[in-house]
Amino acid sequence: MGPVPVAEGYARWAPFYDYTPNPLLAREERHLLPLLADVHNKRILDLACGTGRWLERVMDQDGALGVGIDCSAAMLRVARGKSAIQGRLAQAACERLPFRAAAFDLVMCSFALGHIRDLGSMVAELARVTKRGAEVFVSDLHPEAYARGWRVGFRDDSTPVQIEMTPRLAEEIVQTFSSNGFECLTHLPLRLGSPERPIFARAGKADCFHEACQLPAVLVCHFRRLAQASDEPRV
Amino acid sequence: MISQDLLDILVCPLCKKPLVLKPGGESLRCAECRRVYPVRDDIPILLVDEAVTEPS
Repeated sequence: MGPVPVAEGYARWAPFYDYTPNPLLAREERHLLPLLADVHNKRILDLACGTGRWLERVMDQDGALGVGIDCSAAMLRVARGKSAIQGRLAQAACERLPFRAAAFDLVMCSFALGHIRDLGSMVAELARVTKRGAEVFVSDLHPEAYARGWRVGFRDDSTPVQIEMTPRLAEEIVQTFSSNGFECLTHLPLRLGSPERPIFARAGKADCFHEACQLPAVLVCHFRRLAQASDEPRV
Repeated sequence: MISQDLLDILVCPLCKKPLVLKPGGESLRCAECRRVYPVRDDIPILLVDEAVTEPS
């Protein structure tokens, strides 16, 4: 069976998304958590926040002002059940952000880029809603892993369900951000490692672990928004 | 209840003008284009297709 549309996929996955051990998310968190150690007084957007995994993490920190949007009502319903992020959620499209200009100091966009139809529009909107110097972290399934058959998806009654996605090369992502006024600080391929081994073991896939570690599993990009003419007050 | 942090920065996704929470908190209205966006379970639905345009 072919991949299901994004809306259908996440509507079906939402009720048990948070309970599905995921080595890709674990690897991403292992990399990004130390980089998000100080978010005090920062306005943070969790773009395509899903069930609010990252939003909940940043709101754990004193003084963080986080909000999240997602296009999936089902994922947001799950997020709404988390007290730290209640009232901080909106349903919206990533290509048409419902935020005023220069609202954010930090943006997270985790495992969503491959579901975005119009990357250019999304990044142009990010340029609008971020302040000069704002940081943006973007992560997704690495295109090399996609090329080797890895997919975003879940098991529904033991049947594997894949969700439609368009793998994006680092070069395309960097080019799109650069042409919208962002500087690329890093773009890194992350391989799985021993901390992810127990997830494979629990899933009964311990024998696949070594091979899985040979591939870049997650692509993480880190951008900083440069000054733009529109930042300056007009005389 | 929608957080004030969020209300402070919300704009119409189409015309980018500020949104105002209507009395009762069941919707947000754009004064510029008169689109009204529903709020369900404290989650604003800021999708253009879900908005209703009020008559002038």
